[in-house]
Amino acid sequence: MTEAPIEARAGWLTGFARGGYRVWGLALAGVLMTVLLAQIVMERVAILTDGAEVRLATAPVDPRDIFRGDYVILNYRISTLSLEDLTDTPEAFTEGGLIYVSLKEGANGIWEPVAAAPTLPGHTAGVVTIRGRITSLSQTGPVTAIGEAPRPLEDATGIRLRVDYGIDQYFVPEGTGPALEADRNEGTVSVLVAVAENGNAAIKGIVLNGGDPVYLEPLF
Amino acid sequence: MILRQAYLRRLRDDLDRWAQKGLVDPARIPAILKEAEGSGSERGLTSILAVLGVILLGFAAMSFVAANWGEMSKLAKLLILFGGMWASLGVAIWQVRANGTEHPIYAEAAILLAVSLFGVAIMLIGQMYHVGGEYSGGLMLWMAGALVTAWLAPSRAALALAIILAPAWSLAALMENPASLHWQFVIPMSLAGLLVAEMGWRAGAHLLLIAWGVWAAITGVWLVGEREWTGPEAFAVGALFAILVTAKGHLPLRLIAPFEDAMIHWGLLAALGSGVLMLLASEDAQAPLTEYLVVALIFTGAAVATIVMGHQARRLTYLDATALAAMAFFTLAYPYLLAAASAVEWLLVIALFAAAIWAVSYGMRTHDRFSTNLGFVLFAGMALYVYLRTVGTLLDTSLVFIIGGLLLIGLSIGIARVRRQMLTGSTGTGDVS
Repeated sequence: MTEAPIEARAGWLTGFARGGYRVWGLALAGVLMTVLLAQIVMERVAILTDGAEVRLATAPVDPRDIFRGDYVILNYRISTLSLEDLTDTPEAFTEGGLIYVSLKEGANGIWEPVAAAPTLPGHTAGVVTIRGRITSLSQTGPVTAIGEAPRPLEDATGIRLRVDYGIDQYFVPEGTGPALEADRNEGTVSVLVAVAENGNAAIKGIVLNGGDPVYLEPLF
Repeated sequence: MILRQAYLRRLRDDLDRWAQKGLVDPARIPAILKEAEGSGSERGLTSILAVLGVILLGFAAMSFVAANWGEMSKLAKLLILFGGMWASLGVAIWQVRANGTEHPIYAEAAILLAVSLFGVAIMLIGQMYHVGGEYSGGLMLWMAGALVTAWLAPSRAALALAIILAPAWSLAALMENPASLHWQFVIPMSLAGLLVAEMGWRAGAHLLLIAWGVWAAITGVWLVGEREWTGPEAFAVGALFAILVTAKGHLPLRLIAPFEDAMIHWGLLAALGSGVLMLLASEDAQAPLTEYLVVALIFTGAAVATIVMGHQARRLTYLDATALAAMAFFTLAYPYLLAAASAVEWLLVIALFAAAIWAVSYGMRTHDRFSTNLGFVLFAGMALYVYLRTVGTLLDTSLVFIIGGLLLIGLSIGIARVRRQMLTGSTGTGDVS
């Protein structure tokens, strides 16, 4: 092994390291980081202002995120789906893959799933499509005897999915999680969700007992 | 700091030895040592304190965000973080203007703080708009910002942060979507490698190789858990990847120059470590998958081609090239041998003893203490393994050690004779890299 001399640096970016720091480079890095952050904010704001509004049934519990503080886990009814009720092609769905769930408003104002597809379906009046990722996929059906090989997927009488829509955490000011839990224990909690045309979703507010929202998110 | 002290101790020892051999003027030794010491220790302490200060400020910002103050609007919180990021960049620019590259530590600390606040701002936006559990997107964005800053500034601190974030991104991505291999890691880490090479930054090379190692380990766990590979298959591919890295460390490319030592050392450590893990996982034997064969053949082909290039460039002696190639072929075949016959792990035990002896020999010939020590540690570890495996019958244990001891003594006599013959021969071309 030879000791590489300092001149042995690759030279395809002439003067890159030898010219010291670049003031304009630092400023440009700051601009790029600012633009990136602004772009995320604007994307969220666009969903909240222009997205279709749906109301989803849920039951929260109260954990804590080390980076983002207190939050309430929102466990939606549409987070668990039985595929046979929603599609004729259950084999098109894989664990870790995307799923587009079409929702329609029920009599009580809660939106319920009516169809599921692996790609974004065309727009239908009165239907809102929300995009999620399949976190687990399990068969339901006749119980196999001890020692009997598991049945292949096509023999299953049903397939159950767990889906993450990216709206399962509602962050609250420190210490206020239990208060929301108490509200939950007094009645039914539902969540106002804005859904963009591409299926991306964002939480807009929390509703108790079907009334007005008790928490409504300001845009800024 | 510890490494620096070890280096200075070694330099003192080497200078004394060279002075005795007449290679160095003893009168010049104090001046050489003073030059080597410089103000390194003082500068090292300053750097550590500055980086620790930045880490504390980063945690302060994170706690500020996590508290989710109801009294403050989202916009106000965002502006504070944006302001903090720009203030840090302002300090960096001021330092650069004031000192140039004279005291880069303060500029680097300010850049590190700016990039850390960028990450905190990503988390804050996630919190403000209730973005659910997926961490991989945020980590990828943070890493991208750090990498771009490292390139534009250019900044070693930002590059170090990007390299540290990359395996975390891979881990998060695999946890969120376990069905797919996280190959995307390769793209930013290749760019990071180019930046490290361009900066001629040796510590960065070590950090980069550790990150690659962590990614390889994560990928190995994924192969076993998700693709149903056996332990020996996953460790074999890991060992082949490490042999390839070691061989690449012997290529005379200017791009590789800053990485040379790091690649050889980490590569050897990972290759021999994977070999030991392959041995420990030997009970997990079944006919290897076609997927394993394809991946292992690609790595073996790449490793052998690299070994040949290293030998042609006179960076690898014939003995070393043969040893590395033999390691690669044996590793490739091991899962097949394991599935075909019983007690094959004893073949691997012999191979690991041979690899330990070769590592010691390689280290002695190239004056590379790391490889020598690694060889000794592996040899001792293997002796312990054999003892524990055969401890059931002490007679067998003693027999194994008697045979091993006699074999080694015979081997040393044989090597000594061959060496004498080569030295007395007409053209001994034992070029040592």
